[in-house]
Amino acid sequence: MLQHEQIDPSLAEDQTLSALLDGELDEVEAERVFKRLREDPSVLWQWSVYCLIGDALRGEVMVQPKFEQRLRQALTAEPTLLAPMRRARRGRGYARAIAWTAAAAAVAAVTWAVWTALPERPAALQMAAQPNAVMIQASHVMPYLDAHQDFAQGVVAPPEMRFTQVTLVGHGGGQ
Amino acid sequence: MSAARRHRPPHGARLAKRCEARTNAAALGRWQSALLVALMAAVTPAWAADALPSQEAASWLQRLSDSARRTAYEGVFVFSHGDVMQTMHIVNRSTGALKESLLTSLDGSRREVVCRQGESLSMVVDGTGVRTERRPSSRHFPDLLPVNAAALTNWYIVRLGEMDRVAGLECRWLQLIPKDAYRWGYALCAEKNSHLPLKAMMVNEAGKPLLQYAFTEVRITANPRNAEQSRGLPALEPLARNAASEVITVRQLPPGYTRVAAVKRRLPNRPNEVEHWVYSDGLTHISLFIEPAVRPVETVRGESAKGMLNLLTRQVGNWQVTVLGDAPWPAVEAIATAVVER
Repeated sequence: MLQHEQIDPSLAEDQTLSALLDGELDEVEAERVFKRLREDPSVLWQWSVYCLIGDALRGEVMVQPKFEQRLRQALTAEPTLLAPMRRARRGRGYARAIAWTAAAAAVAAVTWAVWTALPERPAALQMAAQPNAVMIQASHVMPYLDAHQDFAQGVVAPPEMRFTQVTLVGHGGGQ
Repeated sequence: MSAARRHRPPHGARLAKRCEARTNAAALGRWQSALLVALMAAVTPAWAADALPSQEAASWLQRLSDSARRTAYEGVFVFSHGDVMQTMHIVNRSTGALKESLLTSLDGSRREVVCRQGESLSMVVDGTGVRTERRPSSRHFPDLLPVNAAALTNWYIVRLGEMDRVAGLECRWLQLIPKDAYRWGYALCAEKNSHLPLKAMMVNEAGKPLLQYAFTEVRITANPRNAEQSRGLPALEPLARNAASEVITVRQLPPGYTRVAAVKRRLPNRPNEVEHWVYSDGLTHISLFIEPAVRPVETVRGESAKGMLNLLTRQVGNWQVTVLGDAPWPAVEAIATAVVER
């Protein structure tokens, strides 16, 4: 049992992180936590532990010992690719907007992780998921969803969707 | 800093709780979990014994379908999908076999929808101003069953469930259990006398609700307050051209699905005119969008919360094909993979 008589600042922090994972923070609070995550490695560590616990609870990952260490080693062993980068032309406001989009995407990803945790039926056609999930702009698919609503149960708002790049196995004609 | 917390931080505890809620349906009302149990039992062969004979099933379905169009009523219903919940006010006037209804959203942006003669006109008031949208559809709760509902017995097994109480009225549950993996299941609670559906849900193969509608209050009357007649739809140009260029073809469709629409239309953010075909078994709708592939198309799968809506985009010859439907993945996949260029 937890003792709640004294307010332990680190406990408060735990709860903020937990609330962030659950998507319960508003923009301002979330931004504050993101700042903490950037600044304090111990908070970042706590965050990754929570994510791992969440994954493990949902049975999504096999928790392997020294995973992080092995990942770091693998990353070090990776050849460095140098590619020209376009210089950012816009001001700070633009950069901030991007950062916020990324933060929003991170929250969205957490929500989706919960959804994907539901067991899925094996598909009739085997699908090989690519290592990286593709985040398609919602604006790209929205017109389809909207047009579909014309024939589906029309008056309700189209729901959010999650996208993954896939390969249709045994389907040569595709690409 | 207790050891207990290290083992089970608040987030973990909350998640664990959430998982429990998800698996044992404890968060749902008692009657609802009873229904869930019934539906889950339904997936085992045991249901076959309780299934209505097809003649009787057809007449039940037809009664519900007719009632949603022919009954005059006024009420408030709640719609929920995933984390989204909406409340709408509805007035339905019966005009013979047709209907005219006015829906008004009670939360979020103000939204009014007039549905008449297979079309709907909606007015949305939000931060950016007032917008009107015209759509070639007038399907909405409680009018969810097709006009020819009896035909559904070919693809669904119908079970008569328990009596229940919704919005203070007595109703009888009717379950539509799909005979294959190409459609979701449905459960409707029909008011005892009028057979107006008071509650409806779309359920997945495990009997869990994907989408739910329920009246919180409803008045079934011969003469409800008239829906504002002045907002009737004026005679307008057709929304989209009825056409199918047949540049592609679908070699095989899942059982029961037929093409119910083929139109050419312009969509926002799309440079070219898009061809929109719709396949349906009467309850489920799957859209097929065809447009020229302007660049190589990645094969992408999409799904909404709990997998209710599924999508697959791929390239077929010179075309970008997108299949999207409020149907289980096997149905969307079956159509998407059967598309070939002519």
